[in-house]
Amino acid sequence: MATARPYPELSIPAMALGTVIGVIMTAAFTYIALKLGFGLAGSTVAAILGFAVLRGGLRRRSIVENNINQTVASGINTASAGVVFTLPALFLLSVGQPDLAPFPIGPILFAAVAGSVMGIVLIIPLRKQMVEFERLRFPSGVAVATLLRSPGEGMAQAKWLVSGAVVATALTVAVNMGLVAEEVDFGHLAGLPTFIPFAIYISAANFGAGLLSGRGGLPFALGGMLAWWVIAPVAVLAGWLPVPDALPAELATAWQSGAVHGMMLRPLGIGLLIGGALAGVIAALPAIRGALKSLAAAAAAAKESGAAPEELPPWALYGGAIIGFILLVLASYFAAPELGMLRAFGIAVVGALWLALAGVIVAQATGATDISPLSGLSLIAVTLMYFLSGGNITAAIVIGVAVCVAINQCADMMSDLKSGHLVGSIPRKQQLAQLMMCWIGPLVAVGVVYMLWNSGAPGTPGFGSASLACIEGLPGCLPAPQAEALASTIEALSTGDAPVDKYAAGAAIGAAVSVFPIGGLGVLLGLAMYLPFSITLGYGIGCVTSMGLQRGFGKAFIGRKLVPLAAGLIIGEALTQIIWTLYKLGGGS
Amino acid sequence: MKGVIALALLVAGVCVSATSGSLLGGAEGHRAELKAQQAVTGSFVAALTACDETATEAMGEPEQSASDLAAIEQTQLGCRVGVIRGWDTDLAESDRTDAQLAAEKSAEISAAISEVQALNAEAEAAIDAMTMLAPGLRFMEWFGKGGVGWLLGLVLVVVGAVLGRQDAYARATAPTHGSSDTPNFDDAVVTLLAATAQMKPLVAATEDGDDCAEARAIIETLEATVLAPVVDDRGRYQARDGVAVFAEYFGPFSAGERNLARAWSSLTDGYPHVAADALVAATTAFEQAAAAYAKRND
Repeated sequence: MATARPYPELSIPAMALGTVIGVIMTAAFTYIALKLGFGLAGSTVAAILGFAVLRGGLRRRSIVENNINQTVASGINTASAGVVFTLPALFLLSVGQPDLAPFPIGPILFAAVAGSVMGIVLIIPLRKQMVEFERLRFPSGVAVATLLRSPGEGMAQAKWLVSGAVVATALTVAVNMGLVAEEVDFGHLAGLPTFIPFAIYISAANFGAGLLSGRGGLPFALGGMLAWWVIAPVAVLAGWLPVPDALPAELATAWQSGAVHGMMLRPLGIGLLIGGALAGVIAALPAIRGALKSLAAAAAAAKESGAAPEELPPWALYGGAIIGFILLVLASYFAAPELGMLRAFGIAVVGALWLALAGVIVAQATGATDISPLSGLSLIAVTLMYFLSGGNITAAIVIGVAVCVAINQCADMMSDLKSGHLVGSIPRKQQLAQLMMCWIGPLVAVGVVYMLWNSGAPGTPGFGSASLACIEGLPGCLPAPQAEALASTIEALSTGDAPVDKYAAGAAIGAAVSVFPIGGLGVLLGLAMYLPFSITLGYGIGCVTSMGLQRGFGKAFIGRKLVPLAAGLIIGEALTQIIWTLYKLGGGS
Repeated sequence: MKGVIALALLVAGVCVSATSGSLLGGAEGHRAELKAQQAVTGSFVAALTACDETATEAMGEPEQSASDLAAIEQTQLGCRVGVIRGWDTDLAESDRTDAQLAAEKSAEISAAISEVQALNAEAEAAIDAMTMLAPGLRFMEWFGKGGVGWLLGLVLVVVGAVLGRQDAYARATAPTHGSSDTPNFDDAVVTLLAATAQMKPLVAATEDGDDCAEARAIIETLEATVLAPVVDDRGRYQARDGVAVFAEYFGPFSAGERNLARAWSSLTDGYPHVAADALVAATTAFEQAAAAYAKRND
């Protein structure tokens, strides 16, 4: 064998490129989320740019180095969704309640960075449980790994990957241009009432995620059928959603279809998610304890032998958790000094506990389905903090920012570790890379939100429905729909309107269901109730298709053809959506 | 059979408990009724207001003639009729145009608009006047309506889950397992160790920058034919050995799997010495897995 060249992995070019891509995506996606109300995933973009720059431009041939680049970029970018779904609500509420201004920039930054650090260190000990034992699919993680491995795969697999991407691109463009409906409503065609929906959300990525999940994702689809084909009709037909006689029957029925989701299924689903995740963690405690023990043992063995451990040592995780918690206490205290240090400490403790549980929920949901119940869990975080702080909106939102950033980090870290497992990266290097750079995203995202808020005419808001651009219907209008929704929920909270009965009932069902020997069942059922049925159904069709193909063509077909095809569907839609969105924002018609 | 009963109980239990869980308590039900009224009438009021605002904006344009203003008023009226047709069934079913209806049925239209506005105001006022229940009271009020069904459903779920666990354990420990479609963990690890040993000299003989296609092909075959079946069968191992014991041998097994993937990646990139290290690490991990598996019943 020739001289041993070092294999590039945790390298300066990878970190630098990941940081640059991450910062650009954070700024762009924060703006996009304020404009359109949804976040975009950047892992695939980072992996492709990594190919172009690291492999193409710098002639560095290393799959695992590109994995680090993609880990850093998505770790930075993931903060954008966490910040933009929560923080702008504080700004929007200040329009009607001027005493909320000036906004406490220091505590907000502390909270966002604390959330970023804590999300990573709290989820790392669960890597073995989620990636190795439960084998959660993390469809986007698999898609990225397929992309990363593509230089070594044969032409046949590359063709399947490219075919998937081409189909997804064509479909996404057709949907965006209005040539294909966003949803195909078979129920309407069949004359079913609107409270028994049978519509399919047209999304290549959603179908691809179902293909990758196969049989494991089936409980999710069945949960959706239970919610929408059993509970919803029973609730409406039994008159559990009363409507006034004064309303015309058709209008009343249309309202009921929306209300059965908003008032019944969604809060019940959030409860199931909480109960299912909590029970899942308790059931997995022996394995988690074993994993923590093996972390400590591996660190000790590595110290003895002089070799580097494969995972971050426990002291690094404890240290990160302590630093994150101190930042959270400081954020809580300085956001509302009038509450006192003791109460601030209590809020931070509850915030940290919820952050950990919600992180597990989101990581599990994303791992099983690629879909994250972020908004519902952030809403509960803000609700909890609102009541704990005695109705202090600033404290509630500041800690809400930390929780929202943290749970996004949990899902992203675990998805990246899944990619890393598949390409053979050393987990410690991925964890270290994400931990070292995770503070950057929150700073950029918070900075962009501040900048955009101050971009309006003097004395007027820069985004939201009350901004001049939105009032006058100008192209620069940033409606911030997610933040508007959170702001209106906080206003509702002030009247005491929180469906605690549904949360509690759902949590008990989620916990009970988790006793059944199917991993993550409570979380999957909860997610199915939480989401609109058209998404669940589209995903379920992917699962059933995958099962049928496996039965017909065998497991080899799945590994060699279906996985790259499904990865192509996910990558194609993600890239096309990003390009399309930027094109539209740039004034494209 | 037990598995089928368990699944049936689970499904029935979830149906009963979740359906009961979705019931609205008395106060919440009343609030829902008012919300329905507010939501539906509110959308009409908003649409009517939009008609008026558009007209006001158009009238504000400079140098409008009397005929221009009249045309704007007609458009406004047509817009209001278009909106209110969605409310009044008689108007909706009429074959007249909006403009014709505006001219012929102005009284009915005005009455319908007034009705919508009054119902909206009534609902808004009633919602504002409602006092929300404290969380505990809200829970108890719901429990009074749906608590029995919810508890019954929970019992069914738990019984189903217990039966399901018993069935999973029975199937995991049944002697029929280990046949061609369900791999034996021991055999899989032996195969992996043999293949790893076979690859080591191949990789050692590989020049820096070369990819050792033969070793990569072996890894790809192992991934598809040995690793994937064991991974797919992990539920059986977990049910049979329990979570903690399963973790003791499956953890090293997964580490071995990851190191094989690392060997594949580094060979693809032309770093055979990294692949050689990864194969050594994989061997150690598979040996640890085999040892932990062997002493799982101790």
